[in-house]
Amino acid sequence: MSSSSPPIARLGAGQPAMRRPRGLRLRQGSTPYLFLAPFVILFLLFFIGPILYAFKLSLFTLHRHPSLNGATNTTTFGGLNNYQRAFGDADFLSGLKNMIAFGIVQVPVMLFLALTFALVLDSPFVRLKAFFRLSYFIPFAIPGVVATLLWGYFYTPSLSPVTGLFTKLSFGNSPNFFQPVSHLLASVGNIVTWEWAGYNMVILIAALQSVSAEIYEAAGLDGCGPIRTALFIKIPLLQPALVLTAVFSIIGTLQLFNEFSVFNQGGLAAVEPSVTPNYYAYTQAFTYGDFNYAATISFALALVTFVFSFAFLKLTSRGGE
Amino acid sequence: MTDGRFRLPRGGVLAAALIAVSLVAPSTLPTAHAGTAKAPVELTFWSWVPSIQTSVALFNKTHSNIHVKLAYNVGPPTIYTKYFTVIQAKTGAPDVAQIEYDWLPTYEYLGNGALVDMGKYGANSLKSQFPAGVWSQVSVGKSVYAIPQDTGPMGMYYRKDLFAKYHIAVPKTWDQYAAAAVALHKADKNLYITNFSSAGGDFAQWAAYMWQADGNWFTANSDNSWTVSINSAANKKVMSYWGKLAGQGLLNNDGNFTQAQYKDWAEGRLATWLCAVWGAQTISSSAAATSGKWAMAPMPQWTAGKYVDSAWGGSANVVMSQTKHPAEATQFAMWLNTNQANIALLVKQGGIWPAANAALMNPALTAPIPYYGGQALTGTFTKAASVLASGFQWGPAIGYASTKFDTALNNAFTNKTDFAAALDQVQQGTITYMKQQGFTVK
Repeated sequence: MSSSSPPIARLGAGQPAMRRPRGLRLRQGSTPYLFLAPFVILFLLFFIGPILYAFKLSLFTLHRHPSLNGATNTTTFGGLNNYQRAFGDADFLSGLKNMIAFGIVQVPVMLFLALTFALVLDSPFVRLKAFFRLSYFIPFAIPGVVATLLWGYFYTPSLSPVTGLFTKLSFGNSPNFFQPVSHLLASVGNIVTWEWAGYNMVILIAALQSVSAEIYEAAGLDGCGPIRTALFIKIPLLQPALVLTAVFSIIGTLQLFNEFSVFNQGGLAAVEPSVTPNYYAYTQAFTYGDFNYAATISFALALVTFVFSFAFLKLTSRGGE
Repeated sequence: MTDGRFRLPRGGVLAAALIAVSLVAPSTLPTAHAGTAKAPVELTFWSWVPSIQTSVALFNKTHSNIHVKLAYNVGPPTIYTKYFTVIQAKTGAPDVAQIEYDWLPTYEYLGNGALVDMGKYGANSLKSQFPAGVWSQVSVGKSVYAIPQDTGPMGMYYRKDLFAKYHIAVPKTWDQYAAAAVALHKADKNLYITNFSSAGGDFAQWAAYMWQADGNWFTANSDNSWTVSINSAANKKVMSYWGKLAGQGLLNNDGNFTQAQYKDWAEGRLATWLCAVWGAQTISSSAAATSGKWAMAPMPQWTAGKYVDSAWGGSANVVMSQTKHPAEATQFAMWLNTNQANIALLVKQGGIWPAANAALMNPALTAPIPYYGGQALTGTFTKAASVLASGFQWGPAIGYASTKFDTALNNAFTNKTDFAAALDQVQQGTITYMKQQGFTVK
């Protein structure tokens, strides 16, 4: 960005710079902050504020006083007691295990799909690029709840046009998409991949646009065909973008909530609250009424997410150099 | 002279300020009244009963000193989430609210008594107007925490045409029910006697089965301790029965109140539904295609000839402790559930089965329903309500217990393991949880 000339110099041609009034200079210096102020204020109020409040909640332990007539539940300062309880809580840990297992399978599959779509759409041979880009992106535009209900009905034997095919083609009974937990995770993995592959594809396509054409020319001169260009030139150049999408996906996976909550509340499947840590925190707060422990679970989850993302970035930056 | 920048003329600023002040000022000036009419007490009301707005309007019309506003009209579990939130935030709670019987102890024992003891404001005078089994769910001694609105006596809705088609007698005992299950499924392998549901919130249906068999989950002892009896012999008997049916593949896996269930009703793949009196409207509104094919009968019994019933659902009105007008709020809650004209409205539009004794004569309940071949609700459910087994109690940790129960039951169904053993898991987990939360458990 080129440096802006002081406004006073444009006001009247020929006026010497020395006559620049003080007030104008201050206004110029503070203008960027004025523009930022609405965002910063709202950010502090509705993002940082609740996080601080939740952290305070997580440090207190709830004690119920089990009698009627003016009984008061109290919260005592427990320090890190709640966190000790959380990291020893079988339900929380099993939720984490589920999400890690889920992520190990789903994230690579989704990124592979996104990468393939992006590379194919970047190649010179495909027609109707805009149409395909849009249609791969559309699942992302569908609200998560709607998408989950849609797929939930597909998975329900008596409502789905698909599961009927299983019996017609004599494959036996259609598989149970909701039970046991491993099937449920696979079904949700399908929904999540369908929703987010297009989004990640768009990020990768954008990254590919910024590759200068000279590199392709040089590769062509060296005898690289389109496939070798894709494999050995584009993919290494995409590494930063791939790391970015991978980190987003890891964070998103650990925070999965929508699909399980909609399945349970929509009556499509019986989902135990401990299936994901986020849903477990929600249940603690809104079914059991224990807001303090729920806050603790949320922070514990955030901690785990931070550790995973940091470790992943460290791993990939050391490899990449 | 112009520098391209817009300049508000000096006079303009003053004018703008004057206009702004004059717009704001009148509302801050004291209104001068000739008389000394007190402003009506404003109450907020949260409920989920359909069309309860007409009840609110009727109350406002007939009570000039109280004005009620229906501020929230969404059902469980969303409304329970909101209750927890406003109680935790210590602000924003309604004056009068609606809570189901199974959740009442949770709120009674929740922080600083989230509920007002309406006995202090005259609610005890209503005791004789409600059946003993219902009044015991809303009161503890002289303290009254809720005014009963409706109850859900259980019954059996069945497809009389399917039973007739396959020459199967309508079951009157649980043994006959199990036999009918086998026969129906053998005659048509797409037909199931009923659905198995363990999705969130359906634990109350299972509790109703155990309630009917004299099982009980929680007992409040006089020394403020609790006894947890989820895995008692009576409860295990009931769950083993259903586990056997499930193990033989005689139950399909539709959740209650789901599109899958409605479709199976409409297309004749489910032969019965064991549900409370309010289920009549659920079936008739979701499976209109099968009008005239359904009938209502008493719930199957454990002992032939001995008729015992239980309840699923039903709710009551409470006054939340954040209210600034407990007396008026109590007055509204009491009026809502004892005023004959209003109960008629609730029955007709909300489809509820009123808890008040006097309301059972209401013509809306005795009217023949074409969907059920001309049967009236009172034919089956008045007797059912009168033989409600007493002694079933809900506990303060029902949120936890029910969630654990749903999970354990669901696993048992999927893995075809023993339903009764699932109760042991729930018992252990609930006791551990309650102790951890500060309750004394014997």
